[in-house]
Amino acid sequence: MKRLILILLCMVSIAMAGNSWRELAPLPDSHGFAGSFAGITSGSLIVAGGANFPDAPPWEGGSKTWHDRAFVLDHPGGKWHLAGKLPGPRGYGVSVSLSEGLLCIGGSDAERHHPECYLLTWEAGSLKSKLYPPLPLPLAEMTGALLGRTVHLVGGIREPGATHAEALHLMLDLDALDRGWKQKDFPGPPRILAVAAVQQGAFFVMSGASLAPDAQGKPKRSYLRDAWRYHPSTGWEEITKMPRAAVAAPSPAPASGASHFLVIGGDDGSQVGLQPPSSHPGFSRSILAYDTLTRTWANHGEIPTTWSATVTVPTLAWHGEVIIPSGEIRPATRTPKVLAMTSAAARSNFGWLNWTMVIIYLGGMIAVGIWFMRREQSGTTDRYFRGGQRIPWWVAGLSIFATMLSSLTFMGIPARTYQTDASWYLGQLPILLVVPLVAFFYLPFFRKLDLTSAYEYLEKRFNLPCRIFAALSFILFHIGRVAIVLYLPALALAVVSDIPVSTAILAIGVLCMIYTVIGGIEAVVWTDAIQALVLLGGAALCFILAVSQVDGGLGGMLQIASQDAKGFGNLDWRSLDWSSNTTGSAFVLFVAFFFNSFVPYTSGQDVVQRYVTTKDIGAARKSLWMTMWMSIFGSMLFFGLGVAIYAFYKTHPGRLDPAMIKTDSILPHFIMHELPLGVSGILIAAIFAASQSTISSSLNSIATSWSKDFDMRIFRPNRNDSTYLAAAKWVVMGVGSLGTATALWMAESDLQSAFAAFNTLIGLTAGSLGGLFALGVFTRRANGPGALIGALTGFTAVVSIELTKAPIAGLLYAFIGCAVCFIIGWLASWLFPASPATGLSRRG
Amino acid sequence: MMQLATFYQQQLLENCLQFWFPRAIDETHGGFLHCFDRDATLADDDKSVWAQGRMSWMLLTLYQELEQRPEWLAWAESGLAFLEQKCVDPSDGRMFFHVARDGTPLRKRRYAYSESFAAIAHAAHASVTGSSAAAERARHWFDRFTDWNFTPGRIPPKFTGARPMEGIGTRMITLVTAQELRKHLGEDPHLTNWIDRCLNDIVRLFVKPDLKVVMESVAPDGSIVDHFDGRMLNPGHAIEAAWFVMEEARHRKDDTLLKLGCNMLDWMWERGWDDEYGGLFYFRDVHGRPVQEYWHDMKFWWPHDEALIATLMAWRMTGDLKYYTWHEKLRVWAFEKFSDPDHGEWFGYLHRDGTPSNTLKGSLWKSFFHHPRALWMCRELSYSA
Repeated sequence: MKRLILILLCMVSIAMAGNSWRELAPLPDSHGFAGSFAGITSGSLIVAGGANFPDAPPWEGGSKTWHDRAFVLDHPGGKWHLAGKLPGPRGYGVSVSLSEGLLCIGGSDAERHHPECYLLTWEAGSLKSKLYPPLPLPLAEMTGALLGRTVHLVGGIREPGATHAEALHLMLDLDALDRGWKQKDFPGPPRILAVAAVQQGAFFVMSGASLAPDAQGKPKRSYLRDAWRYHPSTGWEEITKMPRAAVAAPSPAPASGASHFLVIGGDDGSQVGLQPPSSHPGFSRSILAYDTLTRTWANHGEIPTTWSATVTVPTLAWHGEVIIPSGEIRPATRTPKVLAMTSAAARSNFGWLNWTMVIIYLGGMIAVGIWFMRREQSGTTDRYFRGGQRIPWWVAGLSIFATMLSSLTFMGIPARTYQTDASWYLGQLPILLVVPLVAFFYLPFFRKLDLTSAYEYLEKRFNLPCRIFAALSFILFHIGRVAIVLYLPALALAVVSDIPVSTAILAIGVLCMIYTVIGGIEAVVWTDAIQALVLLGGAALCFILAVSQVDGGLGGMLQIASQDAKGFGNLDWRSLDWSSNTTGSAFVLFVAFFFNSFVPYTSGQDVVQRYVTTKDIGAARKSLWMTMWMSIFGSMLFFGLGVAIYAFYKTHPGRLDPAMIKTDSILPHFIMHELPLGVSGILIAAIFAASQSTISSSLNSIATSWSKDFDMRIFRPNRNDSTYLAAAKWVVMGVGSLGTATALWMAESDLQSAFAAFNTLIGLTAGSLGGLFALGVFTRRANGPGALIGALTGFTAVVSIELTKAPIAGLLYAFIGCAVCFIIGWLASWLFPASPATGLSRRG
Repeated sequence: MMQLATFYQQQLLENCLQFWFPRAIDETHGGFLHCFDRDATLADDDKSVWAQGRMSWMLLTLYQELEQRPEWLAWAESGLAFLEQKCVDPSDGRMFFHVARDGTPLRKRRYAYSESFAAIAHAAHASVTGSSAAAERARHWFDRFTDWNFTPGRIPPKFTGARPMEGIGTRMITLVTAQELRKHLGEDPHLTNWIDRCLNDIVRLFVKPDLKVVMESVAPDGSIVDHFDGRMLNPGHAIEAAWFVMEEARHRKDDTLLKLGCNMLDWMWERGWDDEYGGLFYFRDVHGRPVQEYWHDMKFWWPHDEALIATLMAWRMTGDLKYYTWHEKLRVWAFEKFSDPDHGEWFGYLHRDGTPSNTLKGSLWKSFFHHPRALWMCRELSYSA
């Protein structure tokens, strides 16, 4: 069996991620420079100062010459021209590109090291400089980078010929220049020519050389390969050592994708002491990729042999490329060449075998739709919306589970666990309270009223406006949601494979619409059940395959998980931090997740509709219990999958793609690159299944609510049932087409974020919906006007939090909306006469 | 070739391993004892730091490639623990050369070879256990080793600076250490850079096609230093280097490198083989003049072990029967002269005529390394098609 797995794994199509390299116009100096300053000002690339050996190498009597010329390149295809001169010859300092201009920090000339910092700007064809706060000491050969609005520097050397380096950490807050540089200790060994990097909100320093006097009292270098991470809130910590030294590698090491940075070449020490120096073959060409999530180093290709690897050179990002202007290629030798590198994420070929699997799955879904269409010759709205109340309880249970688990969850939970840890599993536990609450307090009313639309309850308990508010908010939100649930997974797949976004959107959307239109709720619920099994099976398969490739299997995975705190270690049981979604507070998370499932289970038409598809209240309760246990245990699989993938990439860091733009793509990346052909197809079908189960429910529920809450109630009451049924089918088709078209439009335009923001805004009403139902069920005093005031206040409260960007975790919006609606609604109800007892609340 | 394979396997498992283990295990202080007399009585209970790393590496290699005997792994781990806990000088992070049984340091050498053996042992351990900490230790010791041996001025001078010389030994050991690390930790451009540099240095400085010789030491520009030390050749050492080069040729499928390795073997076999009594001389003079060192014509065990590997490897890689003839001539001679039918293992030091010079089977120099490595590699080479 193991051998079979191995053979299949060998069949994975491997598409090597690529860095592509090209050359811009060379600097107009035949030697080129090491240690020059470089950056962007007013959109132009500027390279200034630096040093070279214009006559001969030092071992033949030549001397190092510092320069003061500044060259400017206005666009990548252009030619360099002399822009002006620096205040003096200068090199080996740190360059930081700011929006204000190019900040040149410290550095040396032939006589001394300097503390001065100045900002270079290139405006209207003239080079200007402006003094910035000076360093507390003269410094050259340090490293540094910009993190947020703070410039960080580490290491360096005070004066020429000094036999020790500095272990300094200097910080300059650009928004508080008058406070100047703040000096702290760098906890690692002192060093010169280290490499800096910035990624995931942290500043990194690695490699470099420490100095010590030799027998003759001259400075002698030791090559370092330690690496350090600085986070403003947690300070310095040592991270995984580099596999080799990379002294003076282009710095800052460019960030790549969502979590990597790339150390390009550098001096690894393998040519140290080589005599004669002219036989030096050049510096390392290999590129090391550091992943800030798994904290691992991996080799990531090489600089093509067309070009020499350069050291003692700054890097910068310009027009989507990493620019390495000039630099040292051998002791005493520079190059005037200017390199530009881009990295693109690898997309693997999906292949006919995988497509076959997906087509078999999609064909199966259509078949289910046709089966229910033919079974139901005499269609009625009751059949179409409630399946004639003959759905078995276990199918309804699976269906609720599949509806609540979208493809965003399918990919999002593993990605989140991969990125942080499994602590959000805590969010699955409130279902243990929510389901009993629904089963004992809500179900009796829903079943007693013989509802089809959940919002019928609101009219009966309160008034028509409440019903309209709720139904409208549900319909609008779900129309948008269809588009997003179609678009995001398609995008995630397109990032890692050659499946075009539009193909995936059409395959998921159109087919889903077809079986939803023709088969009604019965087709939706039955396909949901099948989809639940497909997506659980897919996740399990993926988990097994991931774990089987971790050294030490399951034990190895658990060991890595505990080493790197991938479990629940990050949960804070005492904190009450509710300021952001990154909170570790167990209490806050529990409350947030409680309401995030309480609201849809009590007021979401897509879920509530399932309660009325079974034959009686007992069966409805059983289906709820089933959903509950599936959420508790089924979701374990998804969190486990995240941990398994983490352990996999921790063991095989070279398999990560540093160019991957979003960590959210980690699951599809794993599926496409590490699973055997055919198996990836099954997994992609599972992602499609997760999407379709959610979308089909939305489509049918929108039609249901439209039909019951608007068509039959307001616009065209008392018509023939077949009229409503036909209209409902048109609604499914219309909303399905609209959602698919919107998703396609999002794929083609760059207005996705605007649309997503709009959808979020509508989603903010959800909390109030939960509050309305809770007011109805749990209080007797609440009445129509009061409830409506509550709902609108709840909605307004959440919207204002969102719009003012108040420091409140988005996870808590459901709780806030629900609580505000409930409290204000109850209080406001005292302003109005009590509503007569209707038997529609617990104490009514 | 199965017979040859069976021969080497038997020698390894019954003759060699049984002599050393478990008696080499120091239950009290950890690590390995290795200064054994002919009948395996302890001649000295001091420990060589080289031997700790080399024996750990050998056990791990056998564990990985021959048989997964848990005791081999446990013994190797005890050696590694002794190395890390007792053999490192905390004042400068370098390793000692010679320690007492309990780890009391006795001698540190100017150069840093102990570190290279620690590196390969940790690398093999990383590969056996999957431990990333062990891989990190391997890289650590490799860095210490190369830093110390290659940074000019790092090694305190033994002589005045008036007649600087470079030795092939540093390049060889860096080459094979980097190869071992690559084998266990995976392809790595950094290791490749070091391998390239060492191969380049060997060709540029030490290999002299005009004289058909591989020098042991040369001036920094590669010229021959026409004095006792500069003229002195070590044929066994150069033959060992020859198979390191052939090994790289095999890894890279590089015929030019293979040719280089074969040349090195051919030339040094010609210069080293004793036509009168058989076996390989320890030292020769490049111009055929007398060698100053008075053990120049003794037959040491390890040149013969290395030559067994080199000749067999050359034959397997080129198919040239000349090398098989050399291998068999060498094998018959060496196993007749070095073997001890009573207690197993090889003697270390023979007179020129092949009679034992003393009865030592282990010392600060000879441990469970060259001989078992040759037996294991020859077994592998006899199997491979």
